[in-house]
Amino acid sequence: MTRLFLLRYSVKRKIAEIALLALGVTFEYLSRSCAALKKEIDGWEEGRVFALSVLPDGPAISLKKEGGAIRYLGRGLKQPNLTFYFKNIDSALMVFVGMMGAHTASVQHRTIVHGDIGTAMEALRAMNVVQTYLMPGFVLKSTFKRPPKLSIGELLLKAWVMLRLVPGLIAAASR
Amino acid sequence: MSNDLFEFFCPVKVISGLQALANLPHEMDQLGAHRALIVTDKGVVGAGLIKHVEAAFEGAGCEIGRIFDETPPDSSNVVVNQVAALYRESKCDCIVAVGGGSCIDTAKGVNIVITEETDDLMKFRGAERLKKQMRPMFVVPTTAGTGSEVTLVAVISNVQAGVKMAFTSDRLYPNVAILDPRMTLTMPPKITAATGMDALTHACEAYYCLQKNPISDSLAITAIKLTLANLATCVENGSNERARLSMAEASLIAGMAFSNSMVGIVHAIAHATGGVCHVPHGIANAILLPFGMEYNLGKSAGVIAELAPYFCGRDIPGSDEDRARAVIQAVRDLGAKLNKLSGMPLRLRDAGVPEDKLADIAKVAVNDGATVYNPEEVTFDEALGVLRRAY
Ligand SMILES: NC(=O)c1ccc[n+]([C@@H]2O[C@H](COP(=O)([O-])OP(=O)(O)OC[C@H]3O[C@@H](n4cnc5c(N)ncnc54)[C@H](O)[C@@H]3O)[C@@H](O)[C@H]2O)c1
Ligand SMILES: [Fe+2]
Repeated sequence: MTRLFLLRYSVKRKIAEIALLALGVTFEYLSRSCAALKKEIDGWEEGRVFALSVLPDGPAISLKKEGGAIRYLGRGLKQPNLTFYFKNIDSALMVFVGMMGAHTASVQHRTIVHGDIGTAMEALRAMNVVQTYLMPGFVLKSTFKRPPKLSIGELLLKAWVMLRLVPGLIAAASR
Repeated sequence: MSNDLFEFFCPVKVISGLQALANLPHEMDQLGAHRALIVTDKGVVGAGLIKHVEAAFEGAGCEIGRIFDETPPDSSNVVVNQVAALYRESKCDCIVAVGGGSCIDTAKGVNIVITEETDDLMKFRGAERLKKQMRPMFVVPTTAGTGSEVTLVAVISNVQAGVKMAFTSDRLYPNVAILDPRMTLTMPPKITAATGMDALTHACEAYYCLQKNPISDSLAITAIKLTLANLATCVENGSNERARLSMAEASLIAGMAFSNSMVGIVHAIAHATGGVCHVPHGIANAILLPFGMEYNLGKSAGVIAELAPYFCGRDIPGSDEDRARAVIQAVRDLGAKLNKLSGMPLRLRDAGVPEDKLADIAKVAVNDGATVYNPEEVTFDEALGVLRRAY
């Protein structure tokens, strides 16, 4: 895994871009089809925009609560109320490839939050739900404080999420 | 290896001991400051403590530009803006906080407003957003608990938006912390007990929560030893200067530890209990600490067990869980002793928390940043469970 860090910056950046895109489109999809995520975002005010970004200058994505669900706004920072920053591309990759959980990245000072901490906690919980559907079980076991147990229905949804990921990415790449 | 990556930072000069306060003007001069704005509160003034500060300026080349003594228990953006206006009006060039965590956090907020030339603190919420060099800031703590004199944190409520704004930044560390035994002598027994338990909670949570590192560990252990040796004495015999100074040092050292390792579920629920029911921070921590430690036994029994020699006076035989439980029992015994000596409550019901507010508190607690650092996951149901047990 540590060979990952030997890659050139441009390659690492590409991987981070794709991982963020995957997170964005999956978040959007699950916000309409996954009960656990719906419950998490239910209390969010309409219009809330949050973003993930890698310092110093991206890549980044922005997401918005709109019509009761989450909309992927595309790349870049679109006037977010809340932004999670990775301090560098290596730290971002550790989380994106499943070497490290999001909470561990915070604990190790690899990320910082700009904005309200309560809002950040809500976003973190929601992102954990999304990660549950994007990452294989063995990764979740090593990166979550308490690995989630999925029901049959949820496992089927996870399979469906995986299947539609590539076409979803292609469609979203232009947004 | 304790963790894959850790950071440790504490740029605060510490001056501790007999007549330490007399050094304040010299320290100001060292930083090119000569006219101080004092931020304090009515309780501190009423206890006669500002007289000591004024005496320190006699014959010194520095002066007090203004004294603001209306700091409320929880600092707000309104107060911070008001104090910043006084600072400018009185042409001060540094800030001296004389008080407990409320005065210190207010002073930190004032420093942000002045340095960033803003009246809108909302823009700076979150981590590492303050980039400018702050005005010189000096802290003379009059409680021994928050450790805010050596932390990078300030919490200030926004009255209009009805939210608590948290700021963390390496720029928020004060320049100098002065511990003078005279300054905590007047603290009433119950406040002494509660603030001391805040310090113990910082040390314990710093020791077993996820951002622990070898440096914060050693500080946490020292703070635990000092607290266990001196807190009850301070509550019983408030005029014992030696014990008072040791507690002030315990609080500062615990502050250094937790500023670099953060805190966990106990603080998450204590912050929420303070927010929803206005229970003083130290009291909430004192009540919740044993329950929070128990909650983490599954993941952290081994780490908590390492504290047994300090809490129990000797290492005790048995499994990690047995030893960790002995530590928790020692925390309970200390609480019971302080309760007897000062009336410090040990149950939420005795701290004025209505039972029907527990769910509201749990809801706020799961959104507290401290839960990230807690070893065990914290869900709403589980936070509510801890609250019920502590009720
Ligand atoms: N920034 C941080 O790192 C940090 C950490 C923990 C807590 N806090 C904050 O600190 C605040 C609590 O601070 P605190 O526990 O020190 O209490 P406090 O500052 O609110 O003081 C409590 C009371 O004690 C009185 N008092 C203080 N010193 C006295 C003395 N020597 N003699 C007589 N009376 C005295 C005060 O007038 C006040 O009425 C909370 O707002 C909490 O959020 C901040
Ligand atoms: Fe505290």
